[in-house]
Amino acid sequence: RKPNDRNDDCFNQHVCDIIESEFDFEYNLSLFDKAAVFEEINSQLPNEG
Amino acid sequence: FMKKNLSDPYEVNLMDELTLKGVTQYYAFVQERQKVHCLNTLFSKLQINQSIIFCNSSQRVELLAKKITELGYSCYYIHAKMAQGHRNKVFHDFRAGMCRNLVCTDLFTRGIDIQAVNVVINFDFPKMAETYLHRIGRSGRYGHLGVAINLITYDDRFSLHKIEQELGTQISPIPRTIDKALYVAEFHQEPDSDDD
Repeated sequence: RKPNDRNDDCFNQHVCDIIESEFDFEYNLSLFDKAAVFEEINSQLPNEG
Repeated sequence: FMKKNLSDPYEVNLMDELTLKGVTQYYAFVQERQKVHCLNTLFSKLQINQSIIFCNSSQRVELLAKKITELGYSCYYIHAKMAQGHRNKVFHDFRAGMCRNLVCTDLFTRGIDIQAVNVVINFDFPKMAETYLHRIGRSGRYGHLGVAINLITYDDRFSLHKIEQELGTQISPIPRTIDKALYVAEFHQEPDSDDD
């Protein structure tokens, strides 16, 4: 992805939309299973044994 | 090269002087487009004495500083593309407490040594362990309590894994409420050594 697309994603929202609600930390954390993702990364690493 | 050119060298590893001790490290999982929303909620929930917010490019520093101002918070910003004299002035004023929040790129080569900063936010997660340590770590002299919050996107998963491994540290999911004793001086209880 181009950096500009990323910046648009990040910075082009209306301030009102942001202020009106609280960010839902718990819901978003539930979308990322850190342990499982790390296990997958580990399984793809070359074994340095 | 070292052996040939240096006689009896004194080796200093700056990484050793920086410590993550006393800094509680959390991550929030976000999408790129949720970052500003997430940051705004952090501002409203955390008891910030002073904060530093890191971005990965000069352009993003400027865009974010503008957004933070629109949201009604005051902030200074500095990045590498600004003249050194101007940078020094902004940093001096921030250190003097004239503004609560500072948005910046990686300008600190030896960690942050401002006592009043109790919250550091990685708006963009770094790719290198060394960068992470310089942003979050405290030099021994000032090793004291604070909280670091990392905004992690799915694209950051490899960096997160690598940095935890290389620094031998643990970055935990952000809890519903963050204990003020972890980062607010007035709430911090020194362990009692004498009983009375």
